[in-house]
Amino acid sequence: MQVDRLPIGLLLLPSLRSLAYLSVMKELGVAPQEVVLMNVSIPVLDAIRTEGRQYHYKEQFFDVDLDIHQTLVDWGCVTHMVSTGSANDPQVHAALDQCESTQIVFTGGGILSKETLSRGKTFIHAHPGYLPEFRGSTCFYYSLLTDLSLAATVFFMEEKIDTGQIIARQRFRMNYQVEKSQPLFVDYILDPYIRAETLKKALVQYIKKGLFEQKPQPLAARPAYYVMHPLLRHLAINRVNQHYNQDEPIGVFLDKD
Amino acid sequence: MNEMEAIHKLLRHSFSELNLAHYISNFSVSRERDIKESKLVFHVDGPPSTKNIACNLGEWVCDQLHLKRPCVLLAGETRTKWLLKVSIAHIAISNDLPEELQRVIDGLQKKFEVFHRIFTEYDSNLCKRSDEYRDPACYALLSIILQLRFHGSGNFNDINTAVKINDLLLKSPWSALGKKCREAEIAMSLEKSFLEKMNAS
Repeated sequence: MQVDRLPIGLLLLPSLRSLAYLSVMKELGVAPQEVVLMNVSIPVLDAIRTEGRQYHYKEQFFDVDLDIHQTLVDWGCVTHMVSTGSANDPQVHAALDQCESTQIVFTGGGILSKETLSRGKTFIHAHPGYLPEFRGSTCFYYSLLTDLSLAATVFFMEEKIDTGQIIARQRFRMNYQVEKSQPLFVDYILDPYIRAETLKKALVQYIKKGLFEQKPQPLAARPAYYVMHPLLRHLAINRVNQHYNQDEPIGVFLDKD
Repeated sequence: MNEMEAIHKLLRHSFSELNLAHYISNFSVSRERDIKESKLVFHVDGPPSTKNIACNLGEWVCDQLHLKRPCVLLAGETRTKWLLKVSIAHIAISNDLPEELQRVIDGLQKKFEVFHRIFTEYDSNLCKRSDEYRDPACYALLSIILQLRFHGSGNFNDINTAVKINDLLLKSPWSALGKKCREAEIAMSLEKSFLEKMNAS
């Protein structure tokens, strides 16, 4: 497969998020130079593929049927396999030390330890919220509850969570009915999708300019959002459904930044 | 499983599954059942219903707790319950909190979210001065004040923590179960009102 190889690495934890990231790379015709592949299985993959066939996730969002191993083979990526799901495992450290790339796209595997962050690499993370306003792992539910907005930010990771220089931010608007038979949609499709679309914006910038332009992240005015209780998550989804308008275009769309 | 492990398990929601068909109705039913089993009494005067939730809730809470206002915060106060009661009285009077108390509430909220425990005494740096953490009234007062703050600011972070605290009040090994805990009754009443309002909007 003909792809342009970017001098960046990918720390790949198999997940729906990493499928979304590989899908945008495929769409852009680019591939990472090297991959550290954590050899773990993807939770809920079968269920999401079944749900995806019914609700057209592949056509509307990203390719949930993508085969990670085959894609990396097709791209001819140098792949370092590790048998752990933790980004802080010594095996990952050893693999990262072998990578020539100094910029590594992070796809998950825990909160990066000081030891991982101090290996001479910079890690790039896509967070599902508009930084610095929306920090915390479930912050996109908060932004949906607050004003039905969605956003993601790509930034260079630091020891302190959700801080670091910003590479790209993207706002989204949503007109979508989440059906009762789509319990996996928000966490396993919507969240990875907005992250991947914002990563795409960062990669487009990289392809054009040969580097990730960055700007400082302003100091957060309020504390990070705490992990959301399932009750409020359900209320957030209800809110999305209440504002669904079948006469308008259906989906999740890029909005003005 | 020891007591704290059980509490952590109850309050850990990072990977909770969604049940879009039944969750909210199931939640309401199980909340009603837990409250009934807890024997918490709901004869509070005029519980803030969806209709009158716009009234001065701080005033209403103070009346229910027989709290004088203004409540004066003495220098060096370390009792968590008193810090929280003074905060409630402040909200009743001005719908706001002075920065010093805001910092205390933010700190206690963070401690609850991270460690799932609130101690009965803290020093001015919010370091615990007691090993006692099984007083339901401390948790209930924090839940009340977070709900009052949510009422004023609309910040869902506050109602989110309050719902978790209420879970703990009803389901922890040292819960408000079978105890006469006026603060817990008020915390549950407020939650019911806010949930009805949020569910309807």
